[in-house]
Amino acid sequence: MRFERKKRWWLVQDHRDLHLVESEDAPKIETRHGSAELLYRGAYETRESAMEQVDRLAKAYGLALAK
Amino acid sequence: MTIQYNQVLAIWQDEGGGESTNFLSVQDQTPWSGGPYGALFTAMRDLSRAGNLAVQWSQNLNVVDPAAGGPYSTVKDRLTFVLVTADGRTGQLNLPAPREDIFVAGNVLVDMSNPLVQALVAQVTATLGASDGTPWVEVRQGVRSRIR
Repeated sequence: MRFERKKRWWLVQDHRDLHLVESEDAPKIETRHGSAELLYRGAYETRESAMEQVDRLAKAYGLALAK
Repeated sequence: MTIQYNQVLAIWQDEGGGESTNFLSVQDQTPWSGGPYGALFTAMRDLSRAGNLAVQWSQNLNVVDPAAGGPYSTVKDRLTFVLVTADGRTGQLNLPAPREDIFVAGNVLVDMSNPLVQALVAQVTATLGASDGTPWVEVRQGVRSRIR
């Protein structure tokens, strides 16, 4: 199955904060220190699969979803 | 965790007929039952003084994906991502013949905000791991290179 352009759940890291955004393309996050600080952590088909990666990143690096 | 080394293989061919293969360790390290081949390998072990470390099973998934052309479309052109586990181990994912529209200016570094790239990142972190199945939690900057 070829890549289908559609909304996905994007996980984006800004410093120690993770942001989960439903979007077709890379979401633009307001960063504290400019867009060069953003790290993209995957575009997931479902919110549940994105949250599984949030859990892995929490255990590995102590990251958490931004309030 | 007992190391089972469960893997998936991806076999590639470029327009010129060049081939390359990925051996990718997966997070699912559930042992295979051996199916109808258990007795075969028992018989082989009975005849050998070597220890039998592992037996693996691979089954084909039929794929229709013909090779296409492009500036980096040979299997000697590589896209390499560094993968990291939660406990700091690293590995590599090498993809042959990368498409040319996923790079930032200079065509060496990958645009990590590209949707195709981030869809791959999502799949890698969800399904692949180090050889013992420990999940990759991070996919670092992709870099294009050419092997000899």
